[in-house]
Amino acid sequence: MNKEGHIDLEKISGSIEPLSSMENIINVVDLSDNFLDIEKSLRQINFEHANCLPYKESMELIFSDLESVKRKINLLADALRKTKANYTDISSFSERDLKEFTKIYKETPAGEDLSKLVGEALKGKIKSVVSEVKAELPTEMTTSDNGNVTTIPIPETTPTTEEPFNTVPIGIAIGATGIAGSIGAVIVDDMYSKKNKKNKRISHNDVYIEEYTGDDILDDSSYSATQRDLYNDPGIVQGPYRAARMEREADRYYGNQLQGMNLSEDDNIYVDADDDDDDNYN
Amino acid sequence: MANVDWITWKTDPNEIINPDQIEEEINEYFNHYDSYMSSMIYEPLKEEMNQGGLSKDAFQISGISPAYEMAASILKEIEEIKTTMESLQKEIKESSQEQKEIEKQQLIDAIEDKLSKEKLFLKTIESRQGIQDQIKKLGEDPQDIIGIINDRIYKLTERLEVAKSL
Repeated sequence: MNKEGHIDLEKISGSIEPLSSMENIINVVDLSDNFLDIEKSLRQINFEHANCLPYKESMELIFSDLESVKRKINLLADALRKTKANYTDISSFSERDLKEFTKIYKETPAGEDLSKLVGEALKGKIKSVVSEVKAELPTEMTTSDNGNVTTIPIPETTPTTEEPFNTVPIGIAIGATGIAGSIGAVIVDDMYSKKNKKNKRISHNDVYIEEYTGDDILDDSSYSATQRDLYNDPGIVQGPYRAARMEREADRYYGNQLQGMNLSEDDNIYVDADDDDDDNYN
Repeated sequence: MANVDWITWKTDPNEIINPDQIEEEINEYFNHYDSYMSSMIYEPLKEEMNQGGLSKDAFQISGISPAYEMAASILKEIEEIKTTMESLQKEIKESSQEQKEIEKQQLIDAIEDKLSKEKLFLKTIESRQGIQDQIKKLGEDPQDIIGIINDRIYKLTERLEVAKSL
């Protein structure tokens, strides 16, 4: 977060005493007593009905404003004391501190502005995590065949959805583990997997994650002969398995819905035509 | 003191509502509050906003000065209290003036009513010999009675003049 700003601790320290003094006065001396005396006098006058003085609304307004002044002076004095005690310079402000200040100053336009700053900070954080995750993925694959080295680029899929910052769970750590599911990013499955790993399907509400074993790939007619050959080639450099493919459509189950689809080698959809274990899809 | 009549109202004109007195009393309460708030809260706060730790250059984050804005909102509310107060003072003054006119008219009507009754009674005694004879039989001098009635009429007329001058 770009923390531009300024804290003059000397000035702030100098204001704490006057603010504390105001705090004491406003808390000890009940300034509303004056207005209670006025109300009493007006009641004794017994105005004729025809010219009844509507003073009650005015009095309520005054009492309400007095309470608000009292509350804000207490908040302000407290905020200054905290600022002095906890911060030496603007760069030591964290997003958490900003949130705290947002609460203190929420009744002012500054509170909204601070809230926006917090939001922007979080948004910036999400973008940087996505960038980091994507940076870890290999962008190309190198093969060698009797000394002939071939480089095959791995296609990259851009995120299909971008969640607004205020709905992204704080557990942004999820993105950091490589799944990045919470931000709807789709990481391309490069069809390589660890061997001897069982088929595993996980579905969570409308989110569908699947992992594929290498043997399934060999049998999968959606892959071209070239791709299958590449997979079988002992010279192939296999990267770590990353089969995190997210489906947001609840009905994109395996099997029947996808059977018969004319899938091309570019489609990132894996079909297990033999799967009849529908119980897993919950 | 609404519904003033000639019996309850003596010769002191202040026994009906006195707007000046009310205004003075209310102003005293307002001034007490205002002087306290102004000297103890408003002016010191303003000073801190201009030059102290509440100023914009003392505490700022990305162009936002939350302490300054909070202090500004406090000042604004204090000013609103003052505005409401001044408006109320004006309304009290106007209402008490109106109330005075009402009570004044009630007093005038009451005195005039009593005055007319006294004058009628006097006229009746003076014009009817039979009533004078009755008074004599009671051992009283009709002229004494007439004198007493004339005296009351005179005093009521004086009070009416005072009431009209209120």
